[in-house]
Amino acid sequence: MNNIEETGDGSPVLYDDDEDLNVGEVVEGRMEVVVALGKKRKKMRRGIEPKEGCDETIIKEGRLQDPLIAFGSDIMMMILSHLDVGSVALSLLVSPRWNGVASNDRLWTSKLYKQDDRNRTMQLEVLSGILRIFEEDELADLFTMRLNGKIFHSAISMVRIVKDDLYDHAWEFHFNEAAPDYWPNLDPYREGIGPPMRRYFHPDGSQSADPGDKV
Amino acid sequence: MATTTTETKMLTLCTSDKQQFQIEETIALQAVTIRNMVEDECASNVIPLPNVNSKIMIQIIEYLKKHVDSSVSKEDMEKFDSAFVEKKLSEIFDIILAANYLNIKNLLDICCQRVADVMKNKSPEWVRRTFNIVNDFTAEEEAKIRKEHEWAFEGVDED
Repeated sequence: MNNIEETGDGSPVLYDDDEDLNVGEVVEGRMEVVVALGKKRKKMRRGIEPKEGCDETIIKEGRLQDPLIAFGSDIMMMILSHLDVGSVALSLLVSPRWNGVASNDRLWTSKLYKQDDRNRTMQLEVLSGILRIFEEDELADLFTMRLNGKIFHSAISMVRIVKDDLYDHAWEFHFNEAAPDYWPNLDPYREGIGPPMRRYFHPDGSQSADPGDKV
Repeated sequence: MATTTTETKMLTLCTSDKQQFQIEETIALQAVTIRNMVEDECASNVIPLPNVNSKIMIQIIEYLKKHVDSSVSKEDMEKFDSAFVEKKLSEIFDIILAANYLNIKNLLDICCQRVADVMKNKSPEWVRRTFNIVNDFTAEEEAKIRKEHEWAFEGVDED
């Protein structure tokens, strides 16, 4: 189990290669986060295929009411708790009232999310503020969610990255402002003349870099 | 179930439309609200259920009769449950309200699951249309939330 934590004085900091996902500033301004999603990004799948046909007709019969108005927020929470994380996130956009219910921390942080994905189960478990992650295959997706979603904002400082995450991704890195000039000047990306520097972590504990990496 | 020779105790439930249903007490007591009424002895042998109509009551009794039977295997019970929720969504809505009022946890749960299954992987626009929800976000608010949750739109079902 590796913890990637703030590294302080100018040593390499792991950086995200997608600018939109760079959320370093929320983490006490120190740790410049996390996860290169580019390499292994899979199209997110959410649960089983929708049933064809029958649903539409079942729904169309009888005019339906907004379930939040019909049932109130407690039952609405119950309904949302049966949804996968992605669908809960979508429900944030339905209306301001839905947003109020769907952004409830109880849904996002104290729940055990299970996602059945045909032959595998993905679980994201939040225990006393510490996110633990199962099923390394899905890690890229999980991090996407967390980087953007609410869980991330509330618990990022305690996210632990397991070893397997390291092997899964090419990690781009940059130096932060605390680094003496010598170090950032070795980074071709900073000068706009080359790609970002990368580190590859291997299961045996070693690391490697791209050819031509001066650091 | 060990039905002995002693006479089975019956309860009468009276729905909002004044229909009376005579059912075995063991079946009815699965509804916590009814059990509480019976235990508190605040009900005579006719239990008024002003929040449930007879149409829904019939379905709830069907559910309770199945679930009181301990000889049914877990597998068969799951089959029964999934067939039970294959109803019009508007009916499911009524059952949710009744199950909540009667406090029948499993029934509430499978019906909530049913509603969730309908919403699963659907765009916010689809959900609004289906449930007749007015979107009173301002364009800016909506754009902001949408941007924050862009990832959730990957792989959403087509409308």
